[in-house]
Amino acid sequence: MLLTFLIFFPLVGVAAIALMPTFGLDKSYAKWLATLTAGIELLCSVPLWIGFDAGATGFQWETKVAWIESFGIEYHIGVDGLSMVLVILTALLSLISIYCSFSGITEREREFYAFLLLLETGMIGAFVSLDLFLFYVFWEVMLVPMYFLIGVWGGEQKLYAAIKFFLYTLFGSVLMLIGILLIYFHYKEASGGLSTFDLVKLMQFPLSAQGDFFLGKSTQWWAFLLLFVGFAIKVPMVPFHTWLPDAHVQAPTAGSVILAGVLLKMGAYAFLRFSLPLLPEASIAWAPFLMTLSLVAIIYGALVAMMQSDMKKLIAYSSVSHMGFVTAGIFALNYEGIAGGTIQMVNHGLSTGALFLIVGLIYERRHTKAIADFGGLSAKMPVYAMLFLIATLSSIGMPGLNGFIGEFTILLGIFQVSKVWAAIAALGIIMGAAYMLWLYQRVMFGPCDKPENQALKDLDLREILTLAPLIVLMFWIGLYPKPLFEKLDTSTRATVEWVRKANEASYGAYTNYKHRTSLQQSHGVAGKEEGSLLAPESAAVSRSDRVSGQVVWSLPREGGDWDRHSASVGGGESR
Amino acid sequence: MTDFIFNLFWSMVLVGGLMTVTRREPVHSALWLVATLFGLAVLYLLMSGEFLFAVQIFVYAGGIMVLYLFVIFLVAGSKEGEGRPEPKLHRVLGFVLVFLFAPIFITLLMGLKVASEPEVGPPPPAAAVAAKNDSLPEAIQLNPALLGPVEASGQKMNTLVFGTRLFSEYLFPFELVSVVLLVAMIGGIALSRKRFTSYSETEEAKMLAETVYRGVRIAPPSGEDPEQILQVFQQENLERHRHPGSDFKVFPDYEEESNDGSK
Amino acid sequence: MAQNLIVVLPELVLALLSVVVLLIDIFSESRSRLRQTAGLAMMAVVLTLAVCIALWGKNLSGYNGIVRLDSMGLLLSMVCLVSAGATILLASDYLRQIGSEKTEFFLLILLSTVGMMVMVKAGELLTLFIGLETLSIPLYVLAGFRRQEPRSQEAALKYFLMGAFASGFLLYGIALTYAATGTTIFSELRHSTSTEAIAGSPILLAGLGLMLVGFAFKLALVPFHMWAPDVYEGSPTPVTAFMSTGVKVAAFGALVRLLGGGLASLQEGWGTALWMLAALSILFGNILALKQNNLKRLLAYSSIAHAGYILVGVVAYHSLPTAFGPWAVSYYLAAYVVMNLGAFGVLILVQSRPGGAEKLEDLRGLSQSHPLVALCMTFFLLSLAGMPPFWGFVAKFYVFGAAIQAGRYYLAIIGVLGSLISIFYYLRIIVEMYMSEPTEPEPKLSSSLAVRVTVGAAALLTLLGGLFSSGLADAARDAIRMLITP
Repeated sequence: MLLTFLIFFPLVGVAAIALMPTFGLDKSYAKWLATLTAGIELLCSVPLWIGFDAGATGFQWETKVAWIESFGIEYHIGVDGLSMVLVILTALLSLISIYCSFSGITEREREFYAFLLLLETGMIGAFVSLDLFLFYVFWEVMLVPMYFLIGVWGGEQKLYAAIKFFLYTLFGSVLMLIGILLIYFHYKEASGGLSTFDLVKLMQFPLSAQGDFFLGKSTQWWAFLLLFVGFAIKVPMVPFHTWLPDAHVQAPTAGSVILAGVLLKMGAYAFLRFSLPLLPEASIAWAPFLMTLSLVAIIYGALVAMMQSDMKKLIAYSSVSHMGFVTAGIFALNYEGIAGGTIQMVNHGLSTGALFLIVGLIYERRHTKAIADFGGLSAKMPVYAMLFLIATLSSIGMPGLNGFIGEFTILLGIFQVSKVWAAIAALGIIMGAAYMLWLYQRVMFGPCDKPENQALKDLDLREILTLAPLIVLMFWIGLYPKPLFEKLDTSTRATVEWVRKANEASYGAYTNYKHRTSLQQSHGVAGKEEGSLLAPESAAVSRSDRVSGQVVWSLPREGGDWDRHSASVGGGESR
Repeated sequence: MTDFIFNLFWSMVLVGGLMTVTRREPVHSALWLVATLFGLAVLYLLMSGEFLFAVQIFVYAGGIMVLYLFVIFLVAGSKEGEGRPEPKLHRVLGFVLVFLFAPIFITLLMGLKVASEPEVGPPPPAAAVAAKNDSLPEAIQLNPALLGPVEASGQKMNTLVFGTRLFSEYLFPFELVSVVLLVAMIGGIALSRKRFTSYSETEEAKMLAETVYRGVRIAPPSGEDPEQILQVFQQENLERHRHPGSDFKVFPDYEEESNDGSK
Repeated sequence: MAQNLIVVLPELVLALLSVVVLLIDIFSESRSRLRQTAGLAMMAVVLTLAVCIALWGKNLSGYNGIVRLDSMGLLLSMVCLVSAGATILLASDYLRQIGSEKTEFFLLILLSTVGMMVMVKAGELLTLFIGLETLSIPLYVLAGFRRQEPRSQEAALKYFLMGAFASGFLLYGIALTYAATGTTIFSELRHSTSTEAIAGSPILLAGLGLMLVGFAFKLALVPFHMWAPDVYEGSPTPVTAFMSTGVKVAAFGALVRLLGGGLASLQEGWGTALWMLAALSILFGNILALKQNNLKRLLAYSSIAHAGYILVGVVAYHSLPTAFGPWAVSYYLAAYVVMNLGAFGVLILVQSRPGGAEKLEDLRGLSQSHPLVALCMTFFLLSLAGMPPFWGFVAKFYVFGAAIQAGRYYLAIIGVLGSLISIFYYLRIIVEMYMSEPTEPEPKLSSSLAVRVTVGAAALLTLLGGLFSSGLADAARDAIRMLITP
């Protein structure tokens, strides 16, 4: 019930804002109504963190109601560690993005805040959906408000950016829809006529990883490709990233914060939630390719970021680079990689969100985002300079701040797969430090020689308050990440385990990819070197426990799925 | 003989159809259409459809075509010399008509005789019909099931069977045709009635005034005499109302045309 | 006999009520005759709807299988009635605006609806054909209802000629089919085409082909679509709304009955022909819509594309009882009718401005002057584009799902690509409404309650249909079950 409330409560705010004229409220109350709604939302999401049982397997706070019965479509929601953290992040960033728009948005305020709240409904809905159809619906619901936010309140080229964003994302998501239908019909056939879009049930009959479905590739391979395009555009991974700089640069500050903080996470989240569990064999098969793309994104994003003269564009490209870390971590397909990827999702939401806020603050004062227009601001705006510095350091992975934790864990994961890849990724970190510090230097230090910059006012209380929660969280994750790892432990372990089991069943072992060795090593490495990062409980879980096949995911065991796997193992051996 | 008549009349239908759509004079087209319809009638007869044959002659060739010709002469004949066949054409037409009617009457008589006197030739046995059907090229062979009922009911019973089935099994579509007729009637009235009674001159004036009022309100005159603008508006609107769609007319304005003609 | 009458009861009721309305209208002396007749016509529609609802759940066949009363027939009949009712509501003010206050308008709509209801219930080819004529003739007249407007006259002529062509093709096809099989009743056709000899007969194939061409003309499928944009643009807007919804429902209903019920064993033949038509319609309909600046033309091309989507459902016909190709068709039709009528309703509202035209620019800044109208239009457009959570999305989901289930992946992909292209031009309208500033203070729209209520109800349905579609989907499924197992 709590989750249902979280999904639909922002709509109450939308309705309240829509009905304002009926009650004779002035339109300036819209922002307060929105803040109130988002504030209540955030407060109500806190019990998720407190009440979350880190040790329990499966999903918590589950609700399951039949929706479209003829297709077996259900309103099935629930959270595990991964989605719980992201829901809270969403609630926080939504509140911040509403609060930060008080001074920036002066036209058509009611619509603006209504769209932001609608967006919140879509995002939270997508994070808690456990039914593929429901997930798709929320996934698309996010799209429309964002389109309006960019298109109505954006910068000079807002229409171009808005339509590009919309079409890119929609292109991916319709392919994803076909992929979902493929999975659905496969299940229907395999289960003898049962219809469901339920993630947990669909896992009972994974798509065939062998055989020739089309062009010599298996059904699962193709389904993965279809889902991959949809998710990769949202992340965005490198060949699909071109919408991102435009959208970021043109979007209003609130839009950029939400886009960077939450929407980009959606793609990575979807890989973890749907691609890996539903298509484990194909995930392995695709992993080297995706890993390569991720590394390209890390290096390419960093290089392009260095060349930017526009602050927002620079941060947008740094997002490409950072999200490359996230996907690289995920497709290392081991415990550290996935845990680090998840943490890095949160980190990126915090630090990039903060950076966009910071750029937004200066943009409101100067109406320019060009780096060349600034210089020497630290003298005029000391508080601003300090907050900017913290966000910058967080973004480049300074130990003691959150970015370090995420990137380090990811590197551990990649290292087990390939040392060369880990080296390339580490190079990306160095380049990240270069362009961020250079940006900071150009804006903050040097002579303050522009007359327009002389009279700049430092941040007021409201502006500091918008940034404060993000800064606090950066330090918290940086200094004491243990609670976060604890909450994420079970779901991460379940995912890794599930992928490994499925592949062992299909191929006998990980015969086709280096991950086999990396996975076997990973437990030892985790225990030795990274024990401090891991929760004591999880570190205590012995390697034999994990390998012995205790599937941690909440799977109905009677489904007969293992029979199928053992049968295919037999087939594999006889070959 | 039957083959000859068949060939003759299907070519007549074909030629008639072509001529109908290619003639410039409406009257000629109509007359060629008559020829086509007659030809069709004969084809019906050859297929033992006496009833259809009669209906075709009475309703289409007789009734409807006469109406067509009336209309054409009413509309197109209003101007001197146009639309009227020239003397030379009269003769040609005469030949055409003779050419048409003579064989038709002959066939009609023959057909009736065949239909009314079974002793002239017994209906071909089923086997013969089937054999004939089999001998046709495969592409145009008929469904054997189709041959059965004709033979069983006998040629004499054709009209009876037709009527029985029309008024029992096919009663619903048959009755539905009355709706089609009603629709056509209402549609015809809606199209031809020029103006609705309550839509009076005063109402038009009211609308005009409203348009002017709104026009002024949308684009408030700047530095111009409002009175003058009003006049321009009125002029334009009157112009528009006086010559509605003057450049393109699908359904000519019969009222005006006939008034001109009577002058 | 009683059963026969029950089977055709809705049509009978509507036809009789039309005559009653006609008589009252003729002898009426009232000053507000237009409004009075509109009200009476609306009552006739509502009464017929009530009859349909009362008959729900029955599965009867009358006149030896010539007419069938089943869930699909009733469902689609009701959709047609909804379309007619909405058209009547939309038209009453519009007629006054165009200065063509002829009460015949409503009678023609009612009688055309009779034809539609016959078509979706027809179990036999001749009945189907006569239903089609009953449907078409009023529309030829209605298309030319703005007599002062040359474009309207052109539309009427074009529609008439194309309609005559379509009827000709269809009739010829029917004749050849009869020649090959000896029957025109679908259930007997099904029986007789199950034998190899007849199913392979060239005469039958020629008949099938001609019938498909006739249907393609009527449904404006590419490449038989040339007439549609001109006709849609020239006709009075409510008539366009009616044409683009009711006619499609009737023709698709008949097509599903004919192909799924009668000629199921020829699926290979018509499946191939139809999938090409569907693909062409989706691609060309959407691509050609991109550059339209006239909203009616734009919606015309969009409706061509939608006919393509619906056809995907027909192509995905599958003779299993669990299959949902034809089911998706019925469902899509219901959703499409509601959202398309809504879009045309907004268009009529916008046209009610003095000098109100139908260009894209006329919507500029609508969100500021009329936020609710703009919101409704956004609902319709997003639904037409197939965005969740609107009804159009669920409908598209079913149709493409049917294609994938039938193994026609390429059709699903083409359909999805088409939807993507369609986003461009639907977004263009939204951009005009929301992201362009109005050039000058726009005058208020006409505040006719009937039009507003219609548009509002359609918008609500578009949203609720997407959220709570379970009931209707089940009804549609039952309908198809009955069709498949006669």
